[in-house]
Amino acid sequence: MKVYNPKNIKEALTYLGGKDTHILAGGTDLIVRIKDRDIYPKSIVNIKMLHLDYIKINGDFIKVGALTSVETLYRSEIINTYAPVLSDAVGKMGSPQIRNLGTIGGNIANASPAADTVPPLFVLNAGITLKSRRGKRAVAIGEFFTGPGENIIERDEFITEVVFKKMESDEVWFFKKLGQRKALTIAKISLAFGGRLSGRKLNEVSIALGAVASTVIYAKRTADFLNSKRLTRDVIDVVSKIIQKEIEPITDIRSTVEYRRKMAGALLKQGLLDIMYSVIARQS
Amino acid sequence: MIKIKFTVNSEEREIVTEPTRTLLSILREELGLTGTKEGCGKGECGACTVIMDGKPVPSCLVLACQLDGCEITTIEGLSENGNLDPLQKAFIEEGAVQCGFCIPGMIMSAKALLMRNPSPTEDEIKEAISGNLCRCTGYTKIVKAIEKAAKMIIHHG
Repeated sequence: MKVYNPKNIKEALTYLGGKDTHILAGGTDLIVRIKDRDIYPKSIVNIKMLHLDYIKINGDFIKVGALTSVETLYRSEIINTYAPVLSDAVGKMGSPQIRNLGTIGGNIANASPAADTVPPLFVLNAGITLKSRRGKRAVAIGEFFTGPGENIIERDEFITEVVFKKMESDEVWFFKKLGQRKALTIAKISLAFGGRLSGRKLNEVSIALGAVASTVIYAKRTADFLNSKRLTRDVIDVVSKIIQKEIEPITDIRSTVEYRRKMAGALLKQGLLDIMYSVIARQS
Repeated sequence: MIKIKFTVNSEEREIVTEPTRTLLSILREELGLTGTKEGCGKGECGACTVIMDGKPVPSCLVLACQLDGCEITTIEGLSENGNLDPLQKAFIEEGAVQCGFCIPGMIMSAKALLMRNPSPTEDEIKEAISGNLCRCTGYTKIVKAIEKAAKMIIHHG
């Protein structure tokens, strides 16, 4: 196995393109897969020295370097203030040790249907920046994944940056994750919610679910139903049934179809009730 | 083979090794620092936790090619001039050790916590060791020992 240690992006790109070339970012997935003999890389491109570890505010947007660790995201005031839905999700990832190594770019590139950063990035409608010797392109996160472990990254490309709009003060959000235990757990189901609230009326609703399909998915019909609806107990009861009909989960080692369906409804209901009650508390 | 320069327990080291060799293997087999244990080898158990540039990491998932210029602290680096670290003292005094296999990793996670947050709450302690498994399930005394060490450091400096 050949290991390249490029000093800049331009140099890194010269090593990409070959079959069985893998990128080493945080290594928390790649090294385990090599140890498990799940993959046999011919070469590894170690991108640690590329200075892609940053969180910047750029006008209305937040730019996160692909090599930013999950722990850095978790402790970031910028993420906590402008992307709280992501902040909450990264706090529920792995363990402190894994969060220190694992990166946002790696979590996206591995394309796990249960990836914890991805449902919040769906709700934030994030753009993923890819670079290759051919140039640069940006892809919406909703169009990034094609199957479990599969995405639209070409062999000669890699992720350099994740960009999303700042959340504003009228936006409401929540992230829910169910697993076998609190730490070091892969989601049985996860749900990220975002929307705008005026009074008790919802708009621009976006709902993304993890671990209920071959990729993270939007629950579009459910979100559409909520748009311009006033949050009431009845609406919440109805929508928690709609989401159960919209998703098509499977039974696997982590959970069952029945549990995932029921919990999709329960998690949505729980989150929406919290929003409704906090609005009522504020108004009274 | 690559040449890497890094610091282990405040001592500069320069070694020539395979770029894909793990930090855990370098510590145990190259440098003879066998206090760091191998449990699962996949980052799930925390037994191999060391502090890298101030942060706890599983040394089984760090490769030699990522080490150049890094500062590593292992369990062997905690005592100074034969005096145990407050965490080590507190673990002994509280009887927080059963079989002992998870303890070096537990202490390194706790050390990283106290470096960042000298007076953690019980919940913060539990979160800091959430990546360390104790198969003897002796968590209560481990949490107590970490609370005690925090007090010892604040009172005695």
